[in-house]
Amino acid sequence: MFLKVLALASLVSAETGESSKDTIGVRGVSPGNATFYIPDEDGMFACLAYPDIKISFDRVNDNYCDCPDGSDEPGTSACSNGYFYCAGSGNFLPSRYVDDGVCDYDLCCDGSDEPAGECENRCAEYEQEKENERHKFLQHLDKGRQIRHSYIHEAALRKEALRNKTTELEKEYNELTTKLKNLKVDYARIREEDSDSTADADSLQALGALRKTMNTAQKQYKKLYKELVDALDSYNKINLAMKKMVEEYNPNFNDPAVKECIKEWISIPKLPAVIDYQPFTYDENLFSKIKIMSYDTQQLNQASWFEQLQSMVSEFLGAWVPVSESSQIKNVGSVRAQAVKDVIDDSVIELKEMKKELAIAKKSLKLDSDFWGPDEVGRALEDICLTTTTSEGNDIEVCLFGQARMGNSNSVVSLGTSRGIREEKGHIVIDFVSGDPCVYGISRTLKVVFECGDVHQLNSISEVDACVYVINGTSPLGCAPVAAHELPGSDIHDEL
Amino acid sequence: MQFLHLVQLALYVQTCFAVKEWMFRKCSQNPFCQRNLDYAEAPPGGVYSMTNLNFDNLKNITGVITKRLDSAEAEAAVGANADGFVELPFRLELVNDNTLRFLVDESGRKIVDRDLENVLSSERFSPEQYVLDYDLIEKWRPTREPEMAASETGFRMLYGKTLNSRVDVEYSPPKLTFTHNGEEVLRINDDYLFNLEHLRKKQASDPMSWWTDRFDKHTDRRVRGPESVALDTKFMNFAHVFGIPEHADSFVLRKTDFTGDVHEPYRLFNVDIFQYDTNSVMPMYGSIPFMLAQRPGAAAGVFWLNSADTYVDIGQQHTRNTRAHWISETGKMDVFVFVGDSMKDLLSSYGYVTGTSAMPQMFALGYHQCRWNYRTQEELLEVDKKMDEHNVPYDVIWLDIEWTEKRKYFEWNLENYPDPELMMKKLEAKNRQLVVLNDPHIRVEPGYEPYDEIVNGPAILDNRGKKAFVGHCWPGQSIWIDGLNPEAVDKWTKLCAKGTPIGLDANNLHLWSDMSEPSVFSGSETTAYKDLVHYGGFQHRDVHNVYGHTVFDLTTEALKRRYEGKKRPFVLTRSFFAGSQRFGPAWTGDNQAEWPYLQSATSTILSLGVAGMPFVGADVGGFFKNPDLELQIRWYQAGCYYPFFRAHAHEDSDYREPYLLDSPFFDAVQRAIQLRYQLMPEYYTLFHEASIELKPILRPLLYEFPDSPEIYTTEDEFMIGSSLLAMPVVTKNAHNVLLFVPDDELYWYDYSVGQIIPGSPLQINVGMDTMPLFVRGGSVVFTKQRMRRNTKAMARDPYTVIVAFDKDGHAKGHVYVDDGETYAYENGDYIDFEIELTEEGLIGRALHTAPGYEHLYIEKVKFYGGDVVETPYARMETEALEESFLMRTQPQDYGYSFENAHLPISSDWFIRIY
Repeated sequence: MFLKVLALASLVSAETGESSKDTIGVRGVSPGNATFYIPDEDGMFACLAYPDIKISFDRVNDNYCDCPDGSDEPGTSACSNGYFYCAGSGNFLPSRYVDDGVCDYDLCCDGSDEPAGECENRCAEYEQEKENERHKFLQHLDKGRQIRHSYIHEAALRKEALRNKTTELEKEYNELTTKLKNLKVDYARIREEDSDSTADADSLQALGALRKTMNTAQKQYKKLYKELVDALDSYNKINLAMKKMVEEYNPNFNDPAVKECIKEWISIPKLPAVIDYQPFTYDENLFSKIKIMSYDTQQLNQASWFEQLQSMVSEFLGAWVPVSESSQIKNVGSVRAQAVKDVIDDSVIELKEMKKELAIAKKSLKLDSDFWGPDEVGRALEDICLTTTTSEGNDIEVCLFGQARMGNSNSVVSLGTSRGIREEKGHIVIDFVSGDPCVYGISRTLKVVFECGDVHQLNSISEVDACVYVINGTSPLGCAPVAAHELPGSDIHDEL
Repeated sequence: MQFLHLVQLALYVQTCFAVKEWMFRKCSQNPFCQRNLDYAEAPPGGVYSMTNLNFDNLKNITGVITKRLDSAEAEAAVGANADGFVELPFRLELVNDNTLRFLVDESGRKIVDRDLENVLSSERFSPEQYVLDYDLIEKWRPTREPEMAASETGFRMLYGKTLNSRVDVEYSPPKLTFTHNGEEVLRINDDYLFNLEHLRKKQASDPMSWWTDRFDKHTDRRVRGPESVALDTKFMNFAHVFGIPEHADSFVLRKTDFTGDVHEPYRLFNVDIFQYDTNSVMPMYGSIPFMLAQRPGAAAGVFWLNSADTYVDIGQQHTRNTRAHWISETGKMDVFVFVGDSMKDLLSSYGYVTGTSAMPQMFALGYHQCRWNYRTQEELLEVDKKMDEHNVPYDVIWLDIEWTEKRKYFEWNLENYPDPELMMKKLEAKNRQLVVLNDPHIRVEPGYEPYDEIVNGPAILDNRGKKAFVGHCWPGQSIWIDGLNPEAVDKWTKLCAKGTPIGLDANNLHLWSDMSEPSVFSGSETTAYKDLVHYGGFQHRDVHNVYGHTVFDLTTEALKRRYEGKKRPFVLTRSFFAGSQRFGPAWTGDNQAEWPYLQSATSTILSLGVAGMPFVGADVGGFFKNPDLELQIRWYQAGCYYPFFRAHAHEDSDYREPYLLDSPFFDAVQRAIQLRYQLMPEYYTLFHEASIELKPILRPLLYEFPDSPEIYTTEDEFMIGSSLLAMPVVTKNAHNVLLFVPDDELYWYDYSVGQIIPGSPLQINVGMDTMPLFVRGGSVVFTKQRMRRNTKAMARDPYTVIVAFDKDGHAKGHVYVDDGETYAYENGDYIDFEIELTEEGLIGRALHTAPGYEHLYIEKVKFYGGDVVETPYARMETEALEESFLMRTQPQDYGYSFENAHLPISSDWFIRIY
């Protein structure tokens, strides 16, 4: 009996050479399973998962599959569901890799997956490599965690500062509100006092109306000008894109839509010298002058000038200003009242801005770890943007808590707006949603996945689905404390 | 009004993703074609006569066909003799036992153009030196002297191994009638459509279109004027004809004249036909002007050896005859007529003329993973890794055009692939191969070596024949290598050599020759202008269809030299011609991820197979657009049978590597790929047969069952070799398929479970993972059942053999094995092993054996037993009685099996079955 086992063991080791010295007897069996690979008193082997099925022990590793679970052929490729134990790496690999002419050092560093003499033992260098990797990883982890820790500290500081700012703002806001209330009382009083002195009431009224018209016109002009600039910008972009298409389109694609589009484009008259377009510069001074003149009561006597001005304004600005406003003449009040009114108007605007600022600060404060991540660490990186380049040469900019954009000098598209930090499978993930639409009108979305690293870095980008992008990167953000078993190189297990 | 608007929009959307028909000349837009169709309306009599016949050598009868002209035309003709005749020397050559060649030329030609008289050749062009396989022709010379009897008006010649074929030749008008086994099979010029437009000087009265015309914004000037050749060949008593690929049309050719439903002839003109349509007679990337017809007991084929723009008009006559009207723009009239008992005979004879199929390396038969493009070295290696991790076997990974720097072939983009040599070494460590794209156009860029080498050397020249033609293709301004120029192969070899940027020192690099129609973006009909000048002073119009073939030839040769003749080269081509089978595989070009393209792929592959191009495939999954899950799975389930099995996807398509699928869809795809690997021994054996006799790999049923006319038009089922019948599911939402099996005398078994099928037609329920595949009773199929990562990994694995009983309990089959890589097999280093089941038992015969294969054995034999009721005893008998032993037999649902059999395939054995 004993002799037979020995004989088999020596047979197997003769076949598999060096590698089998590490295991006990039967090729491809792990130390933990070694006890099952000894013939029972009848010289039989019981399939591991089907102990009722017994086969003669000489059918173990005879390169023919007998057990439904493949356990009779740990050292050959006979069973498609079998596993081979590699002693050098201390792990299992699928039987299909056994004796297939490839030294799978990554899976089996001692080369025992192939017949003796075909592969060398590279465990030492793999061990070293693994050790280096582990060491490097631990270093990164350590450093990354330190940095992350400093972020948490910074985040807390920023939160505190924001809170202080909010308090201050609220205080200022209240003060200004009170001031405004008083001003309004003053204004009412002055208007009361002025109600009798109507020396040149008509002129004053007209002036007031004119001033209002001027303000409205000014606003309209600014708005229109901005729209014009935007439109020109769009036009330039379209022009560049079309130019590129006209020059570079691939006629092999023979797409009638493209050809039609190019033909159409060529037929549309182009804006003259679009690139060199010098926009009409809006003259702040002109408007100021007019305003000042309208205050100057000394001018009031020069009725003809005033009439000229009035007709000129209505002529030039009439198109922009609703008729009702320009023609309606209201009793606005005296110059004194006007001065107070100005202060009131300015205060209202200031209050509005303050309110906005306050709202933003409050919103930021209200966002908790669901947005900023654990310990609200993201606050420390609120304004950080990372960049990378795609293999096609497009630039990508990812502002972690703002917008993500992709593009080149000709065009830029939004990949979405940050939804804040979340965790997924041990990694830190930031999703960007509702980006610019791409094909079929789907909004672009981006998912940035950070592994632990001591620097912020974006690595590969891939479009995993239409308009769905994923970027992998490293960041100290990803260095959350991890359990020891998640460290690389610790995936050694000894049993099937 | 609003409604009308919407309707128009819908129509537009439907058509915008289809071929641009208006970009390609229809017959009516191609003056030479229309002239011949007009000619066919009322062919004039008494024009052509045969004279001066010389019967000294009956295997090569020569003579002259005279063309009689009226006095005005005689005046206009360049080469008319004093009697007003143009002389057309002809020859009738018995090439091999089944093949007669009828070749007509024109004498007295000269170029009447002051600028071009020293540039252009005055000869009519023949592509024969590029197409014919002279070694094989020599090897298969006729075995028997023909017998001849002449009269005043003609002669009759008996030929063939048993003189069972006959040709009757009438002199005036010339007419040839072929008879095989006493039955008439083919007539040539029965309808007097024989027309050879002789060279003539331009006359003021000539219609303008004879000399020049304008199409797609380009003016084609024909300095030689009209010079078309045309002929009718009538297949007598054949209802159907097949062949003349490549068309995305049914396997059975449609009637294209007034007798059919499509009133446009099939066109053979190699073009980069962007987003081609299915069910179309339009030209595609390759051309093989070879047509076949078969009926029980007789078959006839015609090979029209002409590389110019060609139309074939097919019509039905007298209900059972099928006429083909061949029309080519220029060139010689060169017709090979094959006769035989069946299509098999035609194809082997055609193979002995144009060459048999190249024996590929084993890896070429594995699964190929391709995409436009794996963008970086990192990405490519990631795909490789994922395939292993998910246990998807594959042999070859591909890089499309973006592997290059600025689309300059022969130069790596080192930014994206920083260390290509390391990348290839990593693949090589797993015995995997890399194929990169390498097209015949070269970017215009002085200083770029390929440009410098070719621009003043073997380039296609402009229409003055002065300097390299410059056109537009992928790299922008480009020049084209002239594959007809004998210098081309040395240049290409130099550029492909080891140590140069393209392949560095890698041993696993191979090439993909695309765009070789040639595709010229700025050209007319997306190809080169017809008046460009090639080597030898021929115009592009003469050589067009053989151009891609010459590029394929020189690329294959360059690669062969790169590997010092030690390894069989692998080059994939898109364009091809008759004879291209000698070099390697082709694929069916840029298809779409739509069901009709999946359906059409089978028909095209079958058509190519019977026309002598067996190593072909269609892009699995569809090139353009995105297949849905069902289509993707079904395409893998059909594609795994394609002789060339490659998945490919367009740049704008989503990634769709198999491992991106989830279970159970992944499982279905994985199973299909694994099935291909299981059948690898069978496929390799079939490729060997194709290299001997040009048998198709995928065969239409009519090829294997010529006596069953009821299955002649079946094209949704096919045979893989002679033992397996497959019926891929190619319709959406299919719940069942209706299977027809030929020949009631045969048993058919389900491939995987061995169950005998009850009869035909048979409705088979199909789930998502069902792949209807059947074993023909009486055959023996060799498989390998261990799932490895690629073909090389399987090399040492033992076989599982399926022995399928026929009605009498017999079966027979063989397997071919060699080293899968080198040419050592040519020196006898291979195994051919046959297994036969008889009443006595199972016989193993080494038909051919060589040392070094002793380790190969059969581990399991499965007997698909039909009506086996009892598991027998089986004893391996050897001469030394003490070595005899009992086989381990085991009852099975399908019959019984030999377990752990350990039967060698390099020496004989006998197993007695009791």
